Amino acid sequence: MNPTKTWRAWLPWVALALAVGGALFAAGAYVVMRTFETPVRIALAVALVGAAGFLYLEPDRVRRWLTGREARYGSNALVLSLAFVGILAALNYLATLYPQRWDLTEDKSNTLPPEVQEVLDNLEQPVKAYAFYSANVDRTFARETLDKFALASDGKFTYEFVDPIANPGLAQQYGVTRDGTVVLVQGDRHEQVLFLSDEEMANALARLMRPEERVVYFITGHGEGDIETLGDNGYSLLKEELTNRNFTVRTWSLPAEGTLPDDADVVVLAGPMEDITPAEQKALTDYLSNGGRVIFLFNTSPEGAAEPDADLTDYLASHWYIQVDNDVVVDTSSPQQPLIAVGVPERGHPITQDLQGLVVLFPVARSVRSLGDQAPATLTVRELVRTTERAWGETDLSIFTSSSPEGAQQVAYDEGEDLPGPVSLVVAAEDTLTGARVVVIGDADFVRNGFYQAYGNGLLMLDAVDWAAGQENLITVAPRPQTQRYLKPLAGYGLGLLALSSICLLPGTVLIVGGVVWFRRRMRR
Amino acid sequence: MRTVWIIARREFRRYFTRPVGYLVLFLYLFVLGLIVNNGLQRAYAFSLFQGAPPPDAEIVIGPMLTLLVFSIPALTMNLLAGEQASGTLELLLTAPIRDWELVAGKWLGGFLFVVVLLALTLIYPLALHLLTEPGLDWGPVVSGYLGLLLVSAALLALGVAVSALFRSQVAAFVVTLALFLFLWMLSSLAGAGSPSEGLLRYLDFGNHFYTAFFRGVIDLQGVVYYLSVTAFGLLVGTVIIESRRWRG
Repeated sequence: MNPTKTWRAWLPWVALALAVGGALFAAGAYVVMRTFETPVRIALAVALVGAAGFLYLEPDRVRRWLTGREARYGSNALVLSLAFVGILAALNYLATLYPQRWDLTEDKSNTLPPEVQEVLDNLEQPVKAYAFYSANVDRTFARETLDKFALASDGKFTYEFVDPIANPGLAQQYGVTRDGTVVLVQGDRHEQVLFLSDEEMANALARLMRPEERVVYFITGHGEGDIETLGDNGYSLLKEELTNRNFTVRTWSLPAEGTLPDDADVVVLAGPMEDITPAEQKALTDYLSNGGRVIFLFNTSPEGAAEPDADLTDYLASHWYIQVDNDVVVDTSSPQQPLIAVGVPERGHPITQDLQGLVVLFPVARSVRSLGDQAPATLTVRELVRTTERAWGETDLSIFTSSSPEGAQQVAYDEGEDLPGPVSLVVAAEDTLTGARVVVIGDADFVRNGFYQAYGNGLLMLDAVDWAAGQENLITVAPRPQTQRYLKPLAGYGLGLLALSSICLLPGTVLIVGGVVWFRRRMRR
Repeated sequence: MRTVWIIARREFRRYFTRPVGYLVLFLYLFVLGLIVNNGLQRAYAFSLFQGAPPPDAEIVIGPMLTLLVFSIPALTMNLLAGEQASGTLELLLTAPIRDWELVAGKWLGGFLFVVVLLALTLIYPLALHLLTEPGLDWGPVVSGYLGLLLVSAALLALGVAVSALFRSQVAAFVVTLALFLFLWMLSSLAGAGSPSEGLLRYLDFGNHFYTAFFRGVIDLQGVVYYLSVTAFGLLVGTVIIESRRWRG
């Protein structure tokens, strides 16, 4: 056989293979690179050359392909099919434009509650939600929830998932620090939703629609923690997250000004080290009696040191029925660090609802108790965070001055002198007459940068500010009646019988019927 | 239309005269029975605790789509590939039957079989209803079964189309199963936030079922999607059969 001839016979097919391979490679490279980079261009060029080569070497065959009977029928079928597919695509597109859903569940569990629906109906400008979920976090629940909002919003609410690891710029722009955060954006304003639920979403939407400024003042002048300091002792993380929640955070020197600012939504007094003068205290109490909102963070004072806030704590006890004890909480649930109190949040209050079981760590805390049973009816006082029973309020403060380093480890609970556990650490009170709100926390160190990220520490403070500012519940969703279902108890062999019938009854019947049919057909042959 | 019905009836009967129909029924019901029983035993074990999740039809409907993905290729592999292997397709093509009637009839026969299969499984929700106080929430059962019927229609149409391509039933089975699995995995192919994610999620056939019908919602989008896939599958099947007339 003439080798040139064989070679000639193969050449057109090599050209065709080049054309197809080049086109496929170009498509694949484009999918990967998303730009017309050099490899894509080279592959396209190879495909073109291959196609031209085939055309040149086999012109008759190409003509036959294009004009033959097969081509005619084939192109007919192709055009018809394309038209049909086009119609189907149009129908599907229409269905996405005009979504319709019918919720068949008894409790309408796939439909937004009416209170939430009302918020969506009142949306004037479109809202875009960015759901920052990395690949490590399950998106199912988020997608369900956001879908519900998107479907019920008449096109005014849209959402998009963003991987904060792949796209850190956008996450930084909106101050996202937690995986699984949803940010709602309307115009140049945004709101974060840390724990996704219908109610949290509705509240964030409602906050978006009320664009007034909310200001938090941190009092300075008595050696309080500084909101600008970046080190472990500063409060810069707290300031950052409050800013992310659309609070304006400022400082206010009470000794210099003498009064409190008029535009304050919340005032925070974080661990004063120096005396608060009677004039300053009067400014604070006047502010509170006019419906002000104050968060007090009190540190334990070492033995012998002056108690800078003694008068203030007296005022809180007599007016707000909140007892701030002069003690230190010793918690043996972490034996290595008995001075770190592990606080367990109580459920059922806006300040603790986001914590969802997270504990809060209070280093060197003092106990803060409610005397609420003596309080007038217009005052509601609630203890929000308590230690376990393994902690107590130690009144012997000599452990701080004791020369031995193990001093703290040698203390023990003295009945009659110390406060028995569980020890309350956080108390919130509200005066329903004036609208004034007070949160007292027996520690100022738990939200310093060094402790801020620990467990629920940061969240507790953020939600305390939210509650004090009256931002916690713009919308409350009434719990919907849910049909309670339970399994009827089965007696004796019930479970076994159930197993036998569910596994064997139906398949067994099918097997027997099949066997009978097969057998009868066999007999007939 | 009459022709379609005649072909459908013949195909439907054929499932019950040959082992494959009984085998699919048996395996489907047996595996489903195992899963449902497992779910029930767990529900009973948990019901001793406070705040246990209430029993619902999810333990029955949840696994059924997966089981259909593996059963339907066995039901469609024979429909047209069998006719080609035995040479009867040429006979059918010369008979006064239009191509689409042949394809639609084959599809309808398979669909009727799946209806019987799904109807048999209704015994599980019914049992759950009797075991639960104050009875089952039937909304998700209705939407779930409607969803399963729509999914089956779509899968059967694709299976019929693939079956038209092959002479060998095994080849038809393998390719159909591969196609189903591919369509099932579509949304996981899309990178998060990539521009194609929305489209791929829409084309993923499990997605419409699990985000709506399974949860007790009838979604117009899902209905349109499944009916479209059904129509598309039947069209492709018809074109393939038709092409036999003019292919060389």
